[in-house]
Amino acid sequence: MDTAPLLLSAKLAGVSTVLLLILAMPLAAALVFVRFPGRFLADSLVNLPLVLPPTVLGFYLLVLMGPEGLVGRAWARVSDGPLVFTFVGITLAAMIHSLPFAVQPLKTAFQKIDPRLLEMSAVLGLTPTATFFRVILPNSLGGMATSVILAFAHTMGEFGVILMIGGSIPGKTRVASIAIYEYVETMRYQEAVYMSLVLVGISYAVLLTVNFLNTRSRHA
Amino acid sequence: MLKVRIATSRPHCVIKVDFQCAGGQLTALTGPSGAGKTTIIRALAGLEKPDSGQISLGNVTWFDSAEKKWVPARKRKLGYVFQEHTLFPHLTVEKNVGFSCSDETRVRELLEILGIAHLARKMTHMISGGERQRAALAQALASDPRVLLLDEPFSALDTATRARLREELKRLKRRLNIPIIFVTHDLAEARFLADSMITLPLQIPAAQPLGQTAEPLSAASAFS
Repeated sequence: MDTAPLLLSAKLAGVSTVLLLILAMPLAAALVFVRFPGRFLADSLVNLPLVLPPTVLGFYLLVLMGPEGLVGRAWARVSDGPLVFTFVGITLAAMIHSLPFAVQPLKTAFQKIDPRLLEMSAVLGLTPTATFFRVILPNSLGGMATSVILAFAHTMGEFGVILMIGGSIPGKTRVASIAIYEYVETMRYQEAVYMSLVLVGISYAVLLTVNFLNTRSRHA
Repeated sequence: MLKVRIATSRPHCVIKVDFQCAGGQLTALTGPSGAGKTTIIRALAGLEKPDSGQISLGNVTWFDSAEKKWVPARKRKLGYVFQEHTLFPHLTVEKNVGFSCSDETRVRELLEILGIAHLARKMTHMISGGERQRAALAQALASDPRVLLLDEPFSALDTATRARLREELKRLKRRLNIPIIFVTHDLAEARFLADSMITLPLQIPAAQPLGQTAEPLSAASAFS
């Protein structure tokens, strides 16, 4: 079995998860703690990738990130190259597709925080930013772990959006799920079985970990 | 000197108070549940904005409805012990007390004064109600507050602990020399500790015909 697609999937999942967490933490905090006009709309927009068919999301991303698209043109100016069919391109696409998986567990964790802790922090002189790092995050570790695990697992199995944005370039955009699809198309069933088993194993391990974390936080 | 003259409306009634509290003095806010004691103390803390009036400490104005001035909680430099003895659950007792104070000697000293030095390394869920109350008080005092607000701090404690902590608070009052506002519904406790007392009347929701507003219920009787 060629392990390169699996390693590429792991690299994609790792990079996009780290970036997603950095993006998702302030986003979830804004959605929970800040009252701003259009919060309801923003919340629904973050969740949109959950219900959109990956091909629809992939198509619009392709339009945006293509050589004539807004993001594609901006990228071409700074990097002198295209965004589609590159690792950066599929990382961006995977991040957008996995955004709700990173944001929702954080939102749930933030909503569970006793508001009196935030008031106490303010009375003790902390700024909202300091309160975020010293009170909110330390009391949301379970949610952060769930967010990381779900975002990582969802990106590991990413298919439609990556196929639309990245195609199947070995070593660059040919991730595990795309490799499995190609194995089946070319009737290399044994390789398809092995690689699928690895993905099933990873997914199951992820669900077990999330269940474990949820059970522990319920009993904490 | 803490000067308070505020009014804030609640459904069917208006809560009004007008009082002053000097450094080293303790003013008790008493009255039945629902009279608005916590509303007033939260306004003093900067957690709820009253509808009108002024709050000032010395020559610094914290709230003035006419001038639209409002100083948020984090800039008031207060000590506030919440009714539920709220402590940060992810920190030890020592870290809770030192949350806004980097002076380790002062933290140590406060833990000693309040008799909880032996609990310094314990997580807050491992200590009793009375110990939580002392830790919350130590935390409020650690930041060297200009005003101390205590919202029914002894309500969840047994009689013996309550009596002991009352004595401790009386001793602390002289040491601290800052205005202390103490919310309680226990009149005996208020008389024991307070230099002055504000008694809020029970706010009874009255049925109002549509188009009429409720008559403001008057606040405060004070004695010294």
